[in-house]
Amino acid sequence: MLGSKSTGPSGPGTVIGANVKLVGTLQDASDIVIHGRIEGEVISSQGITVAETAYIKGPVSADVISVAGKIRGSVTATGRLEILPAGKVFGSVTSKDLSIKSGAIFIGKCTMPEQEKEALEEEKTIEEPKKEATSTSYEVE
Amino acid sequence: MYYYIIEAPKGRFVQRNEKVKDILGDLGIAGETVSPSAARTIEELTHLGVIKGYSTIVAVGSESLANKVITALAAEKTSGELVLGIIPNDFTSALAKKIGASDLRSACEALKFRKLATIDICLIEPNKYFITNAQVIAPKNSEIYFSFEKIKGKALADNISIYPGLKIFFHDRNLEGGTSIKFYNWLFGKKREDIFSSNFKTKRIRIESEKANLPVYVSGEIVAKTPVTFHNRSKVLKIIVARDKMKEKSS
Repeated sequence: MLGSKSTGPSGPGTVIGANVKLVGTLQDASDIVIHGRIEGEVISSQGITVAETAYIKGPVSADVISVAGKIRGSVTATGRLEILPAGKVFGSVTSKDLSIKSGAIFIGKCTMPEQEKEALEEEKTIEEPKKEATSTSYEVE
Repeated sequence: MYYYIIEAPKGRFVQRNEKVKDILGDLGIAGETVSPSAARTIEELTHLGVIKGYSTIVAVGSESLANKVITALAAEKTSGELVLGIIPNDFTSALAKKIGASDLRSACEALKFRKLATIDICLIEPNKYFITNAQVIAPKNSEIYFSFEKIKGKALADNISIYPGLKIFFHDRNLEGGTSIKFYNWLFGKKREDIFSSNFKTKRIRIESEKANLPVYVSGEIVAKTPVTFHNRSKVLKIIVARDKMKEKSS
């Protein structure tokens, strides 16, 4: 490696190796890949990949999150959250698009704010014609 | 007019230096040439060039020479107005790639066309600068402690590379595995999945080692030992680059 003529590391913005332990807030505008151990918050504007060997104790937030390792803390994905078969999440999750594969462990509360809104609106539209129907039947009586 | 600091001629470079002077003369950009010696260090020569009013200092020689000139330029009050030109020794080096020169002639022509690029340089506290890369090297996988921004960390690594922009790359020897794994991978042409290397970018990082003070190498020379702090100085150095390099940047 000494005198190496490489121009620098390539690939995702931040990669944390399996034998690395971090304490604090890890934040990057680009992708983060974690194989090691982090105690603290992990934030990315793009994607976070929590590999099988990874352990995160703290909140995780990004656009797209893929979990094959272990997270003890809240997980917030503005886009897609995928918990893979080896993935373990202990904490609340918030996501627009959630996928939990068979074998994965998820213990916590799940919130899907946008879907909740849509569902409420759908329910309203279903309930409104029903009300009209009951009022008509009342008039007949 | 350019001020050329030409590395003291040694071995095969004696003829090369003469060739450089000939090409510079042909291109009409010959200037004052000086060479470091026991009496005048690179830093002193650089300072002398600035005092004489030269705004373009050209380092002709190795990466080590270029880094020493940069270190001297950074110490000058007028460093923001100064321009660095480079004619490297080795055209396969990261330094040559940085300026986009493929051979001696193209490096000299770049000086004539004087296309400027403003680049990041890295500071090793207290006062050493580099523009290509630095490495912290351990003889075996060692526990390395580091801190940057709001993070404190611990890693196993035998080599840490630091690039301008302060891109940090940790190499963990576990990646290579034991002899049997190496043999197996060699036999079946397999490449082990890299889950051990780390890389990230920051503005400042402090690196400490668990036991011995590890050496920090820049262009093959030990310039510091751990504990050591690296800073990125963003867009502070104007260098002359080849025209192709400019096209490459704009595309």
